[in-house]
Amino acid sequence: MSARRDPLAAGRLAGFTLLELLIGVTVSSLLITISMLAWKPMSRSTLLLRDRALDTTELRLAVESMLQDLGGADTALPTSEPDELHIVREQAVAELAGAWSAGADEGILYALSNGRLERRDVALGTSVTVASGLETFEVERVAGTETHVTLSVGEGLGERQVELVWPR
Amino acid sequence: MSSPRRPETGFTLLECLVAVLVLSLLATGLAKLTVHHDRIVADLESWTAGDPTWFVVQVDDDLARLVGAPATLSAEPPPPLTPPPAPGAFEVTLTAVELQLDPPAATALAHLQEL
Repeated sequence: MSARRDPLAAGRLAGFTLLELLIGVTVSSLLITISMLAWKPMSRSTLLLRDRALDTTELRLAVESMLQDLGGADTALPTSEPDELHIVREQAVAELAGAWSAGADEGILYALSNGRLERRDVALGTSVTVASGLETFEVERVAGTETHVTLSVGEGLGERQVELVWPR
Repeated sequence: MSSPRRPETGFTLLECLVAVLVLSLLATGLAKLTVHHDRIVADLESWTAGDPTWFVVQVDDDLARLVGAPATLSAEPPPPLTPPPAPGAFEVTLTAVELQLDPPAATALAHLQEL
């Protein structure tokens, strides 16, 4: 007669039954489905927040760069090129910056190129990208007394636009 | 005849409650983080709310502009900059000068006469 012992009777087999496994898999699937459904809007919201923060930061960078130059500016006018701003420094500021030559300052040009706002110091021969991701950069002389600069970032509901007025 | 009892496996109620509590805390933390992030971004972009028009205002101080003071943004049109005094518009005559060492000070009495 065989001496094999029944493992169940010995109490050594402690696994899951098929029914337990099926219930476990079903419950896990439900939880994963619910998590995925909640994850999609959450990730979209997070990405939207990130885009908004990025757009606002770029817009602020562009404005701050122009404010820095306009702080010591004598004139700020549109050029013959579309949407290009030409800032000419006051004589003392230009002299201190080493940009005064032949009795004039050649000035600083701001222009939008492929969404990037470029600042080109014509007098000093330097060029730098001050902001990226801009949608519009429009320069307009109004009534011969004011220069209006319009900047915008983002699209649709996330669009942000500001208008700067140089009142001289 | 009864079969021997199988050893009981699985989570106790206490373990389940602790796990649920930890998960809830994590979810709450994540939600608060998102809300705070949203508030920070809203603060950051508050100056662009409603597509505003900003006037560029220069500092009304020649020396500050010379050393690079940036212009600022104002919702109201700025007053015109103070024009510099016309050179040679006055004849200045010092009538009395008083110096003091402690504390160091200097006082002058000047007479201005428009030319």
